[in-house]
Amino acid sequence: MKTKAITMTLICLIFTGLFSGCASKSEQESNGQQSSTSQPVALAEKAEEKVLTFGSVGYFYNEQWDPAYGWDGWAIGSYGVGEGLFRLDDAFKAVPWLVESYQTADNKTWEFILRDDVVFHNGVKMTAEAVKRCFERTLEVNERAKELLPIQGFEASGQSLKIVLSEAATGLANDLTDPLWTVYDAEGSTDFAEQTYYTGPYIPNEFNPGVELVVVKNEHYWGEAPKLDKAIFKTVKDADALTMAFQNGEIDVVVQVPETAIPVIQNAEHLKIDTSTGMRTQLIRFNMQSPAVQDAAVRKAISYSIDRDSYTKVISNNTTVPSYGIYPEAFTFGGIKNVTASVTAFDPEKAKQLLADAGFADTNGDGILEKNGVKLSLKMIGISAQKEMLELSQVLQSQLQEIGIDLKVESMENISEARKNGEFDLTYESYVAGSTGNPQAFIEYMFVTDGSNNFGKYSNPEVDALAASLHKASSEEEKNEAITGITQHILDDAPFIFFAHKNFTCVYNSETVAYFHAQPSEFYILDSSTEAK
Amino acid sequence: MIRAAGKSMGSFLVTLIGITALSFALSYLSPGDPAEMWLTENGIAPSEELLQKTREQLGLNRPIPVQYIAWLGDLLQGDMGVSIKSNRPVAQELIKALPHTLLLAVSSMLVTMAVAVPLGVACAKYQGSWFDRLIQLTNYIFVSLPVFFISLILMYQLSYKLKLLPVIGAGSLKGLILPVLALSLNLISVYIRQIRSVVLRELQHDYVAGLYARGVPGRVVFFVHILKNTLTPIVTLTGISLGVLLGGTIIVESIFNWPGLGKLAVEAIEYRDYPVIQGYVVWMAFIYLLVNAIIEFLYLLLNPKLKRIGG
Repeated sequence: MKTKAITMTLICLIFTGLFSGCASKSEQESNGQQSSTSQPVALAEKAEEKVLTFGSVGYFYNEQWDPAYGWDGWAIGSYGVGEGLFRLDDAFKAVPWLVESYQTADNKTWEFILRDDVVFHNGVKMTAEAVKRCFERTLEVNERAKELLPIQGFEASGQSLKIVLSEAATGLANDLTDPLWTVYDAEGSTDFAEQTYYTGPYIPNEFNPGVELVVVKNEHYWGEAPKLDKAIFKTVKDADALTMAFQNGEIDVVVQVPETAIPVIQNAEHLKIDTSTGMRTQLIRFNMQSPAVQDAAVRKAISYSIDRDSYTKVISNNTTVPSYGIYPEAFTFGGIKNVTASVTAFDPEKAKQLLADAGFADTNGDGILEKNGVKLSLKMIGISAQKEMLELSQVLQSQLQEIGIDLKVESMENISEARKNGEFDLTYESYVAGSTGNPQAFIEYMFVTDGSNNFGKYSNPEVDALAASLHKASSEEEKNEAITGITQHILDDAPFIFFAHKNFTCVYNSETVAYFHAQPSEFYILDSSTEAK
Repeated sequence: MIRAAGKSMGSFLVTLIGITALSFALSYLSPGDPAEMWLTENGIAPSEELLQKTREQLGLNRPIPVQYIAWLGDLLQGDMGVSIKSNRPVAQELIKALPHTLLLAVSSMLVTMAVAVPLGVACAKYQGSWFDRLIQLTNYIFVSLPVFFISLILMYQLSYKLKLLPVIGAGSLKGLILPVLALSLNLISVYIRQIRSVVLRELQHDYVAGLYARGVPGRVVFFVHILKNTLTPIVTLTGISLGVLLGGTIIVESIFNWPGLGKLAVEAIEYRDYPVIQGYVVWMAFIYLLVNAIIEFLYLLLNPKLKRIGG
């Protein structure tokens, strides 16, 4: 009995020791490393080296360093590595960046005088010839480049670059801010995926796609000297882990805070929020071939039933702003300032009235309206990963129930098949309505009769004509007028409801970050102005 | 020996063809068009004409059996294809993720064995004691908690509250501790229960009473005879767990941002990256067959009688 007791005690002691040993070992390891190695090193690094760590669920997605590969240029530009001839400001205005001046007589032939003091990361000078070769390679590699700009040819001489277009483009400066037109040394590399030489304030250093990448200061940067020595970009797919890493101080800046993380993350100490409204828009698309939503009164009644303010405040945790037009207010053609909008507020009573006037009535008393014996029952589809879609659909279901519309919601992993096959009455989606501040491409693929993304089969000859006129516009005013005209038709016909604009919301630790601002275009996350404490 | 090796190789090939054909068919049955995804990822609006061209380019326009046979032919020549998402060879993608998964799997297995074997044996030896009951209770808790929940709790307590470990530690040894703990806690609970029950069953055998009757000391009976006989089921269990772990632990790898095979597989599925999905399936098949072969070899080592029975 005594032996048994002793043995039991020993076993307990061994395991207690094992666990505490593990704990103290890991504690030593962590504390020890923190106090004797990594922490002082980190502190010393912080004291000598200015380092910031950026974390995101999906913004740092480039698979390689070739800006002409897919959308990779977008990510590469955001690390402060790549730059274009122009850069967008907060109002989506294109500001000359690698160019000193530019001129055009007919919006077809554009002459750019490039800066004379810019060198690529390999020390080679940026000349007009280098930019010409760069754009030629991009056009050859990326199909989208050909779709974006009707380029006929280039002429290069010294620092003068001429771009000749096959049709007029009044907003070429804005179009050139698309990071696909990142300037790089097209003759400096043989394997662009592995190494490409850019002009930006930071140079790629370490790279582990989808996990982590490091950029270091470009000592020979032509512009304002970069204020960080190093920046680390970490991809953390799990939103909870990303939130904890920020709260824990492992991440200094969270790029685009996940909506679900907002309630938790806003309680973090030393938190600063950087937010601005961009071109991303939350929308409902109607299937214009579906008998159930053929009547514009039904589509407008649904628009009246969306409580945009509540969506913004409660469902999206203030990461969106309400919308009654198509584009954000900040644009000349944005909001509803130059158009006549029928829906300007949440108004279920008006919705009921509209439906009654259109001949819908609840004849059998089941709470659902009918017309010609057909119940007003709709099917909405959306992507299951979009949590706000699930919440909105629940709210919408109850709102529509009140006005006598039955809404069935199907969330799926991928809606592309169902959308393409027209297996919906309405969809919940999110689109960027022209990332460079120019919505021309968006208009063409969303609203034009045969647009590649016109899945609801909306067709209005006047919209098609106005969209075609955008190609011939000789001034920005003319172009804005056409865009406003299209907006008016879309609001009248209601094939879509653009109910909110997404903010680009980042948070940063005010104890480690001295200055950070991400522009609403989402193109620039790190630049020379970003500063660590 | 040669005949046995040939037989194993034959069964390997049959299994490989079976599972890869099945996964090929399932991938194609699932919704989502890889050509459309490829175009969208490359920034091109997917018109019907372009989709057709892309399908031709990716070889997706041919009938599924033809695509499968072509893929199998390439595989036999050592070519696993190119990832649709990253444009890199699939083999390169797998090889890059493999060391991370190996490190995580082997570390978790070692921690599991180091803790579960002594605790399982002790629980059996002191069956019904407060110690046994305490361990059983702890086991129930960890077996019933999902791994993602354990991961988040560990992260919250050890990283956020106590600041002992980093939340994101991919690539560092310190960063290995949390994912290993998250995986091991569940495994340890399973193993303790299994080991305890195997040892208890062994204790009821007549030969144990015989050994005691012959005056063999209790320690020798326990550590030499009983433990040796419990090794076979433990080896089987270890083999199964190791197979699962080497396939990449999707949830833990995703939460801790561990760049292993599980994370690679999930991303490939999300993207409909068929070549990577198929490469992953081949790897899983290979691992399970390898682990099975090793287990069978260990059975023979542990119990030579099997060899004689087998002829």
